[in-house]
Amino acid sequence: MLFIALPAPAQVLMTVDSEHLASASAPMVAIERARDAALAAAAPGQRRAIELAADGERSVILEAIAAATAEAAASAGADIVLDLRVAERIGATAQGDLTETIERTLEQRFPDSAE
Amino acid sequence: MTRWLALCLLLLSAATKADGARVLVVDLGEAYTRSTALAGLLREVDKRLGAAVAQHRAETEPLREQLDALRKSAPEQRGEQLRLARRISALEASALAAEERLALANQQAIEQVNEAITRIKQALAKEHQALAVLDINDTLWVKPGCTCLVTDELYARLNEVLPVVSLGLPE
Repeated sequence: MLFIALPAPAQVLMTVDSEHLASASAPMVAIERARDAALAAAAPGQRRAIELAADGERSVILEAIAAATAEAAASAGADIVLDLRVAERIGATAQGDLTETIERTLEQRFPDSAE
Repeated sequence: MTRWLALCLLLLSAATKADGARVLVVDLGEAYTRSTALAGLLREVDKRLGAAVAQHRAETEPLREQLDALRKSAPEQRGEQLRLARRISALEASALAAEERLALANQQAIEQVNEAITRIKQALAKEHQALAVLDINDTLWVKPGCTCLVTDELYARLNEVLPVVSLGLPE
């Protein structure tokens, strides 16, 4: 009988397109549209307040993206999640991509942003 | 038997390759407490800065007091006032230059630690047959307790190869 020491279990690496989520996901697009509309109708003195409000809303979405990434990663059994570009840079092959799952979660959490 | 052995070796080779595609992660967020070299450097820089500030104050305050007193008591003695003002300016320039030398020495010492970290990361990647050793800031999420986290190993090696780092400045 031949016994072979088994190597450590393979790592489950998943990717996320962070750039897409941070700029083109539905909640982010909704924030940009609302900001543009508000700016178009704003008096000169209101512009800064509108930009600040939009920044605050973006921060909320970015936090939600981080939370949704953790949830999606845990339920997919991932060990590590990398941005798509980082994975490409180091030549890592991902077992899957979580971008769509995270985007769906965001749309559920921010239903007003859906098209 | 030979066929079985060949199959086992093939499987082992494939499994090792799968494991070799791993990515390792280090969290350097606590470098100034976990690296003995950086912790010592921080203490040394703080000590030198504190001493420099105290020395500068001890040298300039009496001169400032003299200058103020002279301006009130003998405003016509412009030559002596100018001499004191120039002396204060020279001390300030000297303190600023000393601060710049300290900042540069600190930067060079940090660079030594960074180079050691880079070498250790390269060694870890090679030994673990990993694609890369990423800083945790370059990841989006890492499973708590993931075997990919090699921070403890990195600091253990760093403290062994570079337990202290010198500022290279005279006392």
